[in-house]
Order: sequence, then C-alpha cells, then structure tokens
Amino acid sequence: MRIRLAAAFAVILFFVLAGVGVSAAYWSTRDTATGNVEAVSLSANCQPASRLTNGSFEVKDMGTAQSITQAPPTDMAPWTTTDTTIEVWSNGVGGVTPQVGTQFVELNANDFGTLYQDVTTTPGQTIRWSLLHRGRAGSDTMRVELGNAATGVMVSQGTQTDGTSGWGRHEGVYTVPPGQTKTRFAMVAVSTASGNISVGNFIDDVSFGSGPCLKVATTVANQTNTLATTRPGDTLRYTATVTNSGGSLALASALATTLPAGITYVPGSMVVQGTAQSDSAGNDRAEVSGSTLTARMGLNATATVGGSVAPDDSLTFVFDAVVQPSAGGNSVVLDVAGTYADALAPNWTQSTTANTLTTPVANGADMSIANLATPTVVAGSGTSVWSFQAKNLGTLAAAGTSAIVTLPASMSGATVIATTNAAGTATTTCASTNGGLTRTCAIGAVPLNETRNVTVSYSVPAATPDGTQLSVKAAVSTTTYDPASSNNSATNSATVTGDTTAPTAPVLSATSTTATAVALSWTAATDNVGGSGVAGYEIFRDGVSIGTTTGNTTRVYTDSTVKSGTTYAYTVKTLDAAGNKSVFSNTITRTTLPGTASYQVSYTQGTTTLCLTADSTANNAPLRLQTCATPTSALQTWRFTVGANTTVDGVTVPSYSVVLASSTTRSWDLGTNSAANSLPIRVTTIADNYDKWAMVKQAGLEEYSFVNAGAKTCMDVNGQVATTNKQLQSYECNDTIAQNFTMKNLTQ
Amino acid sequence: MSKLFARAASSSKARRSPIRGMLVTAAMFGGAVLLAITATGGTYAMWNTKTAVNASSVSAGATDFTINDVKNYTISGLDMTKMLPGRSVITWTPLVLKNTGTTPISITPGTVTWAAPSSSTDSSTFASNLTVVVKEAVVANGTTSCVVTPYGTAPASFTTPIKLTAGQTRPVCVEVRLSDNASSSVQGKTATFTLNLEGVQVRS
Repeated sequence: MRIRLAAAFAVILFFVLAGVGVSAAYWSTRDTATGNVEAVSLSANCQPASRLTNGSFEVKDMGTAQSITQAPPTDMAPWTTTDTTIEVWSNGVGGVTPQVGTQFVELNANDFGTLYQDVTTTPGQTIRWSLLHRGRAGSDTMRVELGNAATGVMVSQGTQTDGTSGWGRHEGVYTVPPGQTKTRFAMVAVSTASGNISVGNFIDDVSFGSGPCLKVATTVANQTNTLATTRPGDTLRYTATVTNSGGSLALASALATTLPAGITYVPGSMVVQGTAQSDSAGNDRAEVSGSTLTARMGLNATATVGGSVAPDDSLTFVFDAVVQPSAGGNSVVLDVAGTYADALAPNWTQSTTANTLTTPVANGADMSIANLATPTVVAGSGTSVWSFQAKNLGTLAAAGTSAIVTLPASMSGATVIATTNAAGTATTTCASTNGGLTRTCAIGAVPLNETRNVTVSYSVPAATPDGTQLSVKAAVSTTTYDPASSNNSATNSATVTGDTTAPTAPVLSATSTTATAVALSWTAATDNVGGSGVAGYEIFRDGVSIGTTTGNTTRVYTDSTVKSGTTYAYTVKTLDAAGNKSVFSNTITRTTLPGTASYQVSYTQGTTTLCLTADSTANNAPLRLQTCATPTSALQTWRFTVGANTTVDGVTVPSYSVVLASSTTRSWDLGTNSAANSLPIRVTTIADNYDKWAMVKQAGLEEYSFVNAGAKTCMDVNGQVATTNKQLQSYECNDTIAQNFTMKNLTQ
Repeated sequence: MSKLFARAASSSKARRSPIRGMLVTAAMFGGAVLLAITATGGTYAMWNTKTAVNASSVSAGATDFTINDVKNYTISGLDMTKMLPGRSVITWTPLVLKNTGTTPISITPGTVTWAAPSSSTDSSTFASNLTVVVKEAVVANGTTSCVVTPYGTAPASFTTPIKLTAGQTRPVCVEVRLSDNASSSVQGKTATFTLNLEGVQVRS
C-alpha cells in the first residue's frame, strides 16, 4: 500500500512540476556546427603561380599538312596518357579546325584513355580550369578529374558532353586540398557516339592554373649621351615591362606612373606594345594628365579599358622624360604601378607589386636669362632702358659666365653694362664688336641661385617712326656644364610709341588786308615736355586748309587767293613733329578791300532797305536814299578807288574815293570841308580828303561805317529813318545804326 | 543534455518488516521528487507519452542527436578553401547527424550567428556578405559526397525537416557562399560562424 501511494504521489508531483506549460508532451534540443571561413587574397596568386603547360598541344609541330599523328607521349610532354599514344590532329584535318593554334588531340586515341598532367600546387590555392571539347562522330562524353598526384585519389569535376557542331567550353574552380603539393589534372574518356574506342572526344585549349599575377619591371636608358652618369638635360627613355607570371589571364590590365619633380615628360613619346600613342585621352591606349601617364595594356585594350595579358606574356610601355636641372645632385625615383583583375573576381582590382627605379643625377649649373624690364619708348623723349636678369638655377656654381647682347641696327650707340656681383654694386661695361651691335659682358662666376643684371640704355631719336620695334637679344653662357639650353637666351622687345600729345594752339591776328591779300601772323605755340616739338602751322580759311608753314619761327602767312570785297574767317593749328595737331586757334575775320568791283551801298532800317543814290552825275548832286533798282541803276553803282591812308581811332587804314561807276570823277563829298555835324553829302569832283572815306567794319556785323578822311565824321542817316529822297549827312561817329551800311558786290 | 531514466522498482508480494517498508516508501518518494525536478529543468528529456504509467513502473525517454557524434561540432579545414565572390566553400566530407535519443526526432536548420569581429569592421563586412546553408549530402553509386552549388545558383538549406528514428543517421553538408557583390576589401578577411540545428521530438 505504501508503495502504491508513493508511486501515485510521484506521478502527480511529476506532472505538477514538469508538465506545466511545456508543450505538454514534446521536447526539443539544439546542436551546433561551427566553422571558420576566409576570403581569398588574390595577391596570393603570385606566391607561387601554378600552371599547366602545352594546353593547346602545340609544343611539337606536326607539320603544315593536314594530318593525324599517333605521337608518343613524349612529343606532347608534359602530358601523359594511359593510352599508348597521344593522337594529334593538325590543320583542320577532317574539317575540324583547332580553336587555338594549329593542333588539337583526340582523347580516344586507341582506347578509352586518360590524358593527364601533374602540376605543382600550393594547398589552399584557388585554381581555375578550362578546356574545349567536341564530339567527333556525334556526342562524345569525357570527364575532368582532379586529385592528388601523389596518391592517385581523384575527384570528378563532372562530365562534359559535346557534339560535332562546334567546340564546347567547360570550366571550373578548384581549391587545392591540404597537403596536396602536386595536383593531377586528368581528362577521362567516358563514351563515344560511335562506341568505337578510338574515335571520339576532341580536346583543345586546356588550362589549369592559379590566378593572374602581373609584375612590372622598369628600365631606363639615356638617350642623350652614353656616359655612365645621368646629368640634367639628358633625355631618359623608360621602358616598363609588364609580365603575367600567374596561371591565368589578367584582365583590365593597365599601367600608370606619376613623374617625379626631377623629370618632365617628352610630349608624344609614349609607345604601347610597339605602337606610338598620343598624349590626349580618349583616342588610343595611353594619355597624359598633368604629370601622370596611363597606358592600357594587353589584348583588346581600348581607350578606356585595359586588355588581357596571357600567362608568360610580356608587354612594354615606353616613354621619354628629360631630367631637370633641379634634379642635379639628387636621384630621380620613378614608380610604375599596374592594375588588373582576375576573371574569378573581376570587380576586385589588383595591383602589381611595387616597382621603383632610382636614377642618380649628377650636378650641373643652369644659367638662365630672362627679361627684367622692358621700356616704354617715346621717340626723342630721353633714355630708354632694356634690362635682363641672369640666374643660376642649377645645382652647381657657374664659372666663366658671359652674356652676349645683340642690338638692332639702329641702336649701335647704346650703352650696355652688366653687374658682376649679387648686390649689383660691381659692374662691367660690355665689350663692343660688330660695329657696336654685339656686346660681350664678362660676368664671371655666378654661385647657386644668384643673379646678374644686364642693362641696355639708349635714347631713341625723335625721328624714329611710331611703331618701330626695337628688339634687344641677350644670351648667357658658362664654362661649367649647363645642360638646360632652353633658358639661355631672351629677347626684350619694345615698340616706339611716339608723341601722342598735341601742341598748344597759337593766337592769331591779321597784319593787313587788301583787295587781293590778307596777311596773318600768330604767336609761337609750344609742344609737351618730351614731345617731338613744334614742326609748323596749318592755316585754315573758312574751315578749309589753305597752307602750312614749317618750323616754329615762321609764324606769318599771306593769303593771296582772296577776292576783293569779300569777308573771310581765318584760323591756325600748330603741328608737332609726330604729326599731332593742336586745336584751332582763335578766329579772325577779314574783308578784303573793294578793289575794282562795283557795289551797291544800302541802308536798312527795319524792313526797309534803300540804296545810296546820286541824284545825277552832275557836280554837287545830292546823295540820297532811294529804292534799290534791280538791276542796279547807274546812279547807285559805286566803285572804291584806294587813296592815301588815314587814321581812324589810332589805326592806319586806307581811304577810298567812292565814285559813280558811270562817272569816275564824282565822289562822295561833304557839302563843306568841315567836321561839323549834319553837313549834306553830295557827289563832287574828287579834290581833297573830304571826298575820301575809310571803311570800318562793325564788329559782328556785315555792315560798315564810312569815316570821312578829312572831317573824321561818319556818313549818317538823319533820324535813323529809311525814307526815300532822304539826303545822307555827316555826323560825328557814334556807333549807332544810323551810320551802318551794307555793301553788295555787283561783280560777283 | 543529460539523460535521465527514472525507474521504479518492481513491487514485491513478500512481506517486509515495517522499518524496511518505511525506508522503501521514503526512497520511492525521494525518487519521484528527483524525477520531477530534473524533468522540469531539462532541455531535451522527454516524457514518453506512450510509456505506460502504472503503480509499479514509470519511465522517461530522451530526445537528442549529435553531429559527428558530438553536440557542438567544429568543422575543420573549411577555411582552407579561400572564398571568391559568388562561389562557395563546402565541407570536404559530409557531417553525420545521428539520433542519439530514444524517440524519433525532427531536425531543421536554425539560425546562424557570427563571432564578434575581433578588431575590425572588415570582418563584419565579410560576414554580412556570407550565406551559410546546410543541405543533405549527395549519395551516388554508394558514395556520399558534398557537392558545391553551381556558380550563379544561390545555395539553399534543406526545407523538409530531417526525421530520424532512434539511432538513425543522415549525412549533411555545410556550404558557405560569398556574395557576388562583395567588395575587394574583404580579401583575406576571416569569420567564424555557428550554425544551429534544431531537433524536436516527434511521434513515432
């Protein structure tokens, strides 16, 4: 009883403690499997490479004729076969063209044999294999096996079946197992379409190897000299050879290098695999960007993508560079690096191993010369200075330095000196040869980075035409080795700009006026300081140039082309030697004297114009205002006959007898030889100064006053009223309109 | 993972002394308590629901399996094959799952965990590009082997649970695939994974 009670209690307790909330009846458990994995490091492809050889069965040429050869295995070494021979097909016999080379093999030579090759491998190495397979008389089947060559334990990599329509490509990846240092790659004949044991399974282009491994080796050759030492200025030819020492194709293969500071690229010198390349991008397999050179290598490389480099292939990238003076005493260190990709990881760019080439460079001087200052040359304006600065840019002091200056033909009289110390306090006058056109300056020693100046001074003559170019050349040389010749000379050119400043304008005046000439004179003008100087004057009449004078001392001009009784406006401009002209001078107006011309003389008041008219040709006939006849009347047609000079307001002027054209003996005359006012004017026989009249032009008007030479009174219209029959009178000159008259030349 | 078989002694028709009877009762009580406590704390011990429960006999079964005879198996040599983008590494020889329990068991792939990267984020990046699967081995012509999933085809774990009766075995393979898009920065990086396999008792 106790036992049963205990058992029942145990069962109840079990369910209470164990059964609550645990799926009532099912139990679970968990196991684990733990492992380590590691990503490949493709750089391991280079250490060491493994590769099958004679993959295309070309190691022994079976001849040019189409043939089938039962070759002993030694002919196709290192291939080995379990068959008695290796059957080699050549040159498309039977209508089957080898995919690679000129030969391929038939796996079923005499039996269902196995063709294999043992390759040294590294455990863990990633190997890729590939082959071309084709049936002979139908679908043939083979099998790839890989395994340990030492033990003979092989693992199938699958079977391959192909017909006669073409070659079938088969490939795979294999990782060398631990401890396997020699791997056997075997191709096993499985079946043939015909069942014939010796007919079937063509094979070509077999590969079995580790990944690609590009290496770059760079060499340099001095193109300038054969000395053992490289010097600044030498042209170096770099040849970078990229080699695939791996077991498979390197894809996207490219080389690049950035030239160090000590060398500069020679444009157009890149050659890729024997073909010259341009420097620009996008058109071929290489380009230059700044100091970086890039070349895409291998088969099918393009302007943007690198090509493939087969195992054992070596391709070259060649370019030239010039050693710079700054490299003297140092070494030029060039690193050509490459990139490529493995077909198994095409997106993983690999880099070639480092390849650095160091080229020691010897010291050298580098004397340079450059323009220091170029003058602004104004002909005749003083001394102009051309200057140059020579500097030693090299790595070695320059000894026996000299500068040779070549002058233009017009500058043989120039002064040329050069400094001979860094401070410029010591100078030397340069020796003159070649008629003064060549000057040799003995500068002497120039330490590193020091400068010497060469100065050419010359006063350009004023007559030098504007635009003349004056080019002074200077060349520097040294007895020390100076490899860089491109900076050894300079040309300093200045253009004569000439005088562009106009001289001042003169002040014009008239010295005399006659019926046939107007004499002008003016004050002396001046040119600007440093200018070409006053060369003469140009005279204008009514805005038209009528003549010039030369020099600054001749400052008079007589215009003899005038017409009598005509008013002209004169101005003058000053000319300088450079052709500059001043502004116009002041304008003076002169009216030539009447001469032999006939005139109407009229008086205008308001809108009424009346002509001075004699009553008749009789002596003492009154002179009155009458209507102007058209054509004119004989009694109102006058000629002016010049007489003795008289003085008006202190100025000596000619006087005239104003006579009727129809009766040359009747002239305007005062009624009484007196200076009294209001004396009637009449025409009388010419007798004395009281029948002579001076003509005074009213300023700003084309009107004249007539001043009686005897009485010094003026012809006057009483009351300033223009009415017919009004007799003219004399009256003291008062500058009123009563004394202003207009002359009309009837002969023009 | 311990096993427990609680077994009650057979009853005896012979009369025993009172002292002995008291000792027997106490021992049986203690055994029942031990059985109950152990069962509640176990991870895989089971109660065989088919086992008859009576006053004289109470028994418990076991749910358990092993991988190559151990609960936590360490795969060696998997890292001998270096991984390439889009390609796999796989166990050279199959792993053997064995039902070491007394009841049928159903095994399914569980989660995969990665050991924390020791120092660099690169290892983490590497792990994030890896896929771990467990699949049944291929048996042909009497040979059992592990076959890599072809390039271009994503590997996959078995989807139908593997059911093993007590003592039964099944060969499986563990395959790890590196993504085709993995960057070159993972080159040479290593990672350690733990693949869980879940076993559940099933009715026979």
